[in-house]
Amino acid sequence: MNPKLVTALEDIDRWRRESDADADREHNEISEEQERLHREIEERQASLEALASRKSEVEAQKASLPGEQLQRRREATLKNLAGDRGLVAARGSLFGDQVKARERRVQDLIDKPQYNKLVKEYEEFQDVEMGLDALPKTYKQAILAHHGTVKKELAPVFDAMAADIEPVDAQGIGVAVVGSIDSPDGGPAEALAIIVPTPFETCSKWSERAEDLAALIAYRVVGCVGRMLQQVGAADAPLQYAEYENALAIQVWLGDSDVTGNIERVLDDLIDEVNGKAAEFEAGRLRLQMVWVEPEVVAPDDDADGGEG
Amino acid sequence: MSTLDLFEKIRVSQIASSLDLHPFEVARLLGQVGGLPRTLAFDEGDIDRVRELAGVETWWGSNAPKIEDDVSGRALVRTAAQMLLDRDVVGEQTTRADNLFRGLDPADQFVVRRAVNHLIREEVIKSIPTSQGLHLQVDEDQVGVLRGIADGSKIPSSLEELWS
Repeated sequence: MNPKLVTALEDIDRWRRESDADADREHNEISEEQERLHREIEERQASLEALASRKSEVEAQKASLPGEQLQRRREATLKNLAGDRGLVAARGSLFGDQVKARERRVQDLIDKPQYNKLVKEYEEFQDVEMGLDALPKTYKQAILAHHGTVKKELAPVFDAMAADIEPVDAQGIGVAVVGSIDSPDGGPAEALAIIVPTPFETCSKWSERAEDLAALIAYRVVGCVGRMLQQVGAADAPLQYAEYENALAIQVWLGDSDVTGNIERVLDDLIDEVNGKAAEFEAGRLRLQMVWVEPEVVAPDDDADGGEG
Repeated sequence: MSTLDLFEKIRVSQIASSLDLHPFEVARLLGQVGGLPRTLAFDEGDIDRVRELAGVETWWGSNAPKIEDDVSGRALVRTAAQMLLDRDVVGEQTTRADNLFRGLDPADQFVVRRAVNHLIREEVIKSIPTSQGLHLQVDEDQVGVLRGIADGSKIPSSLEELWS
């Protein structure tokens, strides 16, 4: 029989072994849990870093949106300006055909016997007119009286020549007139640019080219700009004409004017009024519409030619 | 001119040509006084109307003052100065800048233009933008300078360089 101490010491040894085993097991478990948590933290950290990186990308992308939008608006504006110039040119050709058709009708009329002789007399008078002052007064009066009679009898010819142009046989089209107001720092308008989808030559080579539909459109827009300036209290604002992407640009300096009205609204209304009034727009089945953009959209590239007309 | 042209009304470009203006000036002026008409075809009377609206005058006609000078360029500029004085383009009174050139041949126009530009730089003449285009005006205190040029008694040496 073992003494009780031996049994007690053996119990202690067993306790120790069991406790060691328990401690080792729990230690291992904790270590494993720690490793798992570390791995998880690393994974989360990696996720955080990936998210932070993506966030920066999204922020940068968002920051670039205004510039991208501007670039897209600029591209769209230039592309459509070129397209509208083409539309105006094509419609101008149809309009020209209608003008010629009117001339043929007048020619047919003056070829008729009852007008033929009168037309010859009327033509001859153009040569005689300059020398009238050298003739005795009674001769002069008689010639003028006869000319008056001839002119009166030719009234149907004058009327035919003044008749409205027949509308073109084509669908109606709308073309954009691009407008842009520069108001630095949100202050008063300093400059206005109006881009008309007609060739700049309507301005620069007006005396060499026919007064075609493009020229008439340009006159209408210039007339509207003049009237708008009058209405907003900037009647004397200086205008310049320049070439912009092969189109006509009307540049108005407003920096020395005290603008008292809403430029956009007034010009929109005046263009609308012209759409409903201009005979050549009716005949050409054409309408203009103001489209307003930011100055940066129409600002010339840094390396572009900014020559003025 | 074809026969048909005899029966056609006057176009904007024809008004412009007859008044030595640009068609866009005509369009702007007509726009300002109520807008362009439905049909852009006009009568003889409209030319006079636009002439008045534009302030177009022909100064270099038979009524231009006769100023004798050995140097033709100087004679032109002295005459131009005299015409500004005769028409009292002083103070609030202004005139179209091109009234000073209209009617001259291109070479003479060049001389007068250079002189006017010089006088603008020297602040003898002021240029003022208007709906009719560029206008000229002489300040009251510069009338004496202009008179000295017109009568030839005191032509600034810088101006003499233009034709020497």
